[in-house]
Amino acid sequence: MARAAGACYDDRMTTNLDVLYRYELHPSEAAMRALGKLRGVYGIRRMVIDEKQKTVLVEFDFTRLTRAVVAELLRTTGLDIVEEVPLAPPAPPKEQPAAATAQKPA
Amino acid sequence: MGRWISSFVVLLSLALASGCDRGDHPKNIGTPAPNFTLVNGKQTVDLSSYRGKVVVLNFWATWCVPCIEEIPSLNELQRELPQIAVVGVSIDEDADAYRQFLIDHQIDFTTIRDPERRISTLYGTKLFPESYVIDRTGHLRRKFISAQDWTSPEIVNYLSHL
Repeated sequence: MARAAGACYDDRMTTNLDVLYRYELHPSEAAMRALGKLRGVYGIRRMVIDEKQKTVLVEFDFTRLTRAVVAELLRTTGLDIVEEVPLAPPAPPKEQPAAATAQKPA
Repeated sequence: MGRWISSFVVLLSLALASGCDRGDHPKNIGTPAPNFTLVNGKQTVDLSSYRGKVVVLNFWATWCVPCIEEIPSLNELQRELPQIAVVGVSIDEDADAYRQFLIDHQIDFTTIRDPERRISTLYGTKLFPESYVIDRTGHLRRKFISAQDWTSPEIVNYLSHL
């Protein structure tokens, strides 16, 4: 992982955010090389490609980059980005009030 | 108890004296900027030829979106302060992509390609974009990491008073 120069870089001092994208076509060799270069951009902390799930996870410093810039960076590599995959699990459905669900006696 | 406090003070002093570089004051600030002559095709950039001028040395690449985002403000800075020299050094390996980028985008400052990253390595730059301010005497005065708004009053005021 590329890091800013400095002997005392501390992960806790940064403001990192994960964003997950799904791609359709497997990245070409040129795209893989281009993805490797992205580690040299300030704010990109980590990239993990899951070839089975066809996803790329990017950890970035949101004080330096935005989601839109990260998506644009990925597109410039030629990676066939289809969509952003929400990382947070969907919120559980709200429980119905007991009175509304309880059946009335016949 | 006193011994514990003394030990703590000693340990704290050692930690502070260990020279952590948090990036706010890089080691080479105040030292002479590494000189370079870069030849790319018919173009030559010789840093020493800018002596007497304030130089903003910007390391960038066509594939680096944050680098591209700061180009308009670097253009604006060059227009607003013609007495300074904005010098871009691109680390693009792909000569065609670089050439096409220069055709498609307006760049109003000097830029040259350094595909071997010789100059960025000389300056200790590994992440992009990164810029250095070099004063009239050729000394490094400030390092900017990541993209900047070069038209911000703080930066314009700083550069115009160097």
